[in-house]
Amino acid sequence: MEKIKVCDYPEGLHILAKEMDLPFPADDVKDRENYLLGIIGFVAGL
Amino acid sequence: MLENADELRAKRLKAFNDAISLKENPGKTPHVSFFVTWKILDYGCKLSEALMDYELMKKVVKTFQEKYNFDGFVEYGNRNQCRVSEHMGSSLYKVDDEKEALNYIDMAVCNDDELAEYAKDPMKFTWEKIMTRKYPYWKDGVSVDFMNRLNREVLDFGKFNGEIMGDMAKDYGVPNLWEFRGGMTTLGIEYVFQTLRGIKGFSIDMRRNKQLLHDVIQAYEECNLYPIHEQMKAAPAGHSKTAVFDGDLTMLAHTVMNAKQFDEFYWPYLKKQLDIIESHDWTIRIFTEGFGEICWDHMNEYKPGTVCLHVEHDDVLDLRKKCSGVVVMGGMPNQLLGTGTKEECIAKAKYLLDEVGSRGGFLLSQNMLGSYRNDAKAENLKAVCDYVNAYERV
Repeated sequence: MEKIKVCDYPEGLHILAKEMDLPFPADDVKDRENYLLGIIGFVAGL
Repeated sequence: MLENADELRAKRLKAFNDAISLKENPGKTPHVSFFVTWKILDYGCKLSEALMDYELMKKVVKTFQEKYNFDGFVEYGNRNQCRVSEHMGSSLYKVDDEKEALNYIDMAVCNDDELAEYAKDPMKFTWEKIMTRKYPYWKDGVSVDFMNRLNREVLDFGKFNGEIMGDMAKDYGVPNLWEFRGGMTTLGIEYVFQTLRGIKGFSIDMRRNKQLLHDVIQAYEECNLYPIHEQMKAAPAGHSKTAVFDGDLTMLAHTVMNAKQFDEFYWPYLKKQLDIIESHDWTIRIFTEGFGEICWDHMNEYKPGTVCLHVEHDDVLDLRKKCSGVVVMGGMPNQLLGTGTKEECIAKAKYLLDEVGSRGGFLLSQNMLGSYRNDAKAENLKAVCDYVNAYERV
């Protein structure tokens, strides 16, 4: 399983947005990153 | 499942709308459940079982409704997102099945010397510091598969929310309490108080770091709240046709403020959101924890029915008399439901319906989140629900 460096921002965001299974096409970088920011914002806010 | 669920939902919505329009002597006063984990205990399973199993949680909520027959719900088993936080290795939620208790571990995630850093870039601070401090599994070296599972957990939680709300409306005739316009919101001041700084740090900031505190609130709101405000502004005006309220907030930070501090740190930020609500003819429910009179005069300046205050320790009749334009919610003390007799509970319900409900603009609910076993005796709650449902005004 590929291990990734996530904890630096925005580098971690770029990597996760590229690698994760997200409900946007691979080349739709902006939407993928915004979606991921929403997920992390939700989790951080718990 | 009820055969007349649609008809019942329409009837309930009418009762809610009568309350929001402050109609005097309404035919029915709506009764809203503010029970959370108490529902699980009443169902008879362990907290840990229901909190980790959405199908079981649906059964808990539906069984609760079949037994007590409320008109609306503040909570459908979705307050505590234990599965998401557990996936991240967090101990934010401490579930003790033996003591039948769920405790949320408060954690201030921004140190005294980090306020400026947060204000400079809230997203970077959230990503690098808050996530790291809250979640042991958020670290370099995490796998893509692990992150994909986190995404699925969040989506599963959203799916559960959608399904339980749909089922309760369709099968039980219970209207949703909210149709959020633009999205759910948390005020910057509450985020700083509850998440970033905690009671001690926040109290110090109000005295020693005034400008920095404003900067942090402003930074949070620009990043998280203003985009939602923009969507709210663009949304069509007019009260929801399917839900009771158009927005929701919980106020807690006011409990450590005096009037001057409230006017300086709280009101200007809250006002921005309420102005949007009022300009769209929407209604917002605001739960004021502790005592909330500090905000009553401000709330009463809005168009009648714009604000519904769900109160914890304040007297509902006092609020009804002092704020003619505010919808009042609450009134039934959990302490009485938990320790009183059936007769005492019914007498309290009668008093609330006669004295407050008849004046209009009143939603009967409990004064606190029903969390623990002692927050109600089942026979008391059943007696109150039956009494309220049979109560009619002529």
